Amino acid sequence: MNNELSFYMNLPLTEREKLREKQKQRTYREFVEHLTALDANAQMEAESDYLIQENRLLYQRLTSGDTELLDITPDNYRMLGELAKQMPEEFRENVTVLKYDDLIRIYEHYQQNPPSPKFRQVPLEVEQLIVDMAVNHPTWGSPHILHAMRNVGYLDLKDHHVRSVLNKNHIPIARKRMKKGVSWKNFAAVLKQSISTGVIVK
Amino acid sequence: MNSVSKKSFLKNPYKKWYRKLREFSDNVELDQKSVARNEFLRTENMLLWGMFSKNNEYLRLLAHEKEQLALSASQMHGRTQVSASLLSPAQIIKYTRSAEGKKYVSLFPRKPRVAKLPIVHLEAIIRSITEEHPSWKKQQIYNEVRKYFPEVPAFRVYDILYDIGFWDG
Repeated sequence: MNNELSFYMNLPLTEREKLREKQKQRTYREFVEHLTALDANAQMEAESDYLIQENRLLYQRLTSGDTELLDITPDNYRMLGELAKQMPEEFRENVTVLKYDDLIRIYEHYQQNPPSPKFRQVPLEVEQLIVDMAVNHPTWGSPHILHAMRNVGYLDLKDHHVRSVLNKNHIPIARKRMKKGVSWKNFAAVLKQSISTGVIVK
Repeated sequence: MNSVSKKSFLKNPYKKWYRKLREFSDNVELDQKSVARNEFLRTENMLLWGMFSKNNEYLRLLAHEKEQLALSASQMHGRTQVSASLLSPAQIIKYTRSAEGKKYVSLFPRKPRVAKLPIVHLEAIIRSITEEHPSWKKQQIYNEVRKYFPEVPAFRVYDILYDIGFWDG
């Protein structure tokens, strides 16, 4: 085993502190430079254009070139339908998983006729709450969601219930949800709140 | 006396950048239409990734897919520049250039490289050639195809010709 100290650890403590401080300044400067280089709307538009390409690519892979059906659950239709309804008309062609009209039709069908719960299945409203928590809080994994649900009053809920609901509704694990970072909507809101305290938000 | 005490204060190194960030955050006004679009696309993307990760597969991108992604990824600047894309910054540069048919970016005038077509279009191009020139032999067709796909082997072209029922032998 190599017990020799690295160059950095051989430096006196004050020097190391100086280096760390320098690195912090650099991180802060780079973050601000990147963020303020362009208008926020232009950045968001570019991200959306990229996401369309990525979604189409994934759709092609999942459906083997548009020859197989995707397994979209009623709760997925609820999430997508609610967001699609707010989308302006000019962006309706950006929907990849289905045609816009089909998506809205199926969403409304499930709103009027919610699926009947099966034996020992997690109730529908609990399922929706778990999915909403996972989507709104990308950093929350299933244990965190479980404790949050217990705080709200669902004391009988177990870890495997949360995991099975997330798995069934195609919600990836927290590490994968965090890959795309915070959405622009949340980012702008958090930035305005946290700027007075000088917190870095990425 | 006053000037000495003023000099003894340390300059805050964050001040300039903090002011810049503050100005940005005060003036940031997101277009609600674009926000709705962005939110939908992000959710759709998350669900598609959720479906894809169930198969426990590694997403291997083909060259033409990388080019397709790189063109839109190259337009991304700012906060999401690195994190949002499937490609690394070096790949974005490489495949954006290859999509444009460039190998280098030079100040000297150069003959631009011919943009390579993705191999998925091979069959479609062979079909169009056979429809346009029904009297051509397979060798002639192969020579024509090589203009679009310089590296394609002859047997692949002949196999496709056989499959589509064009067989001169």
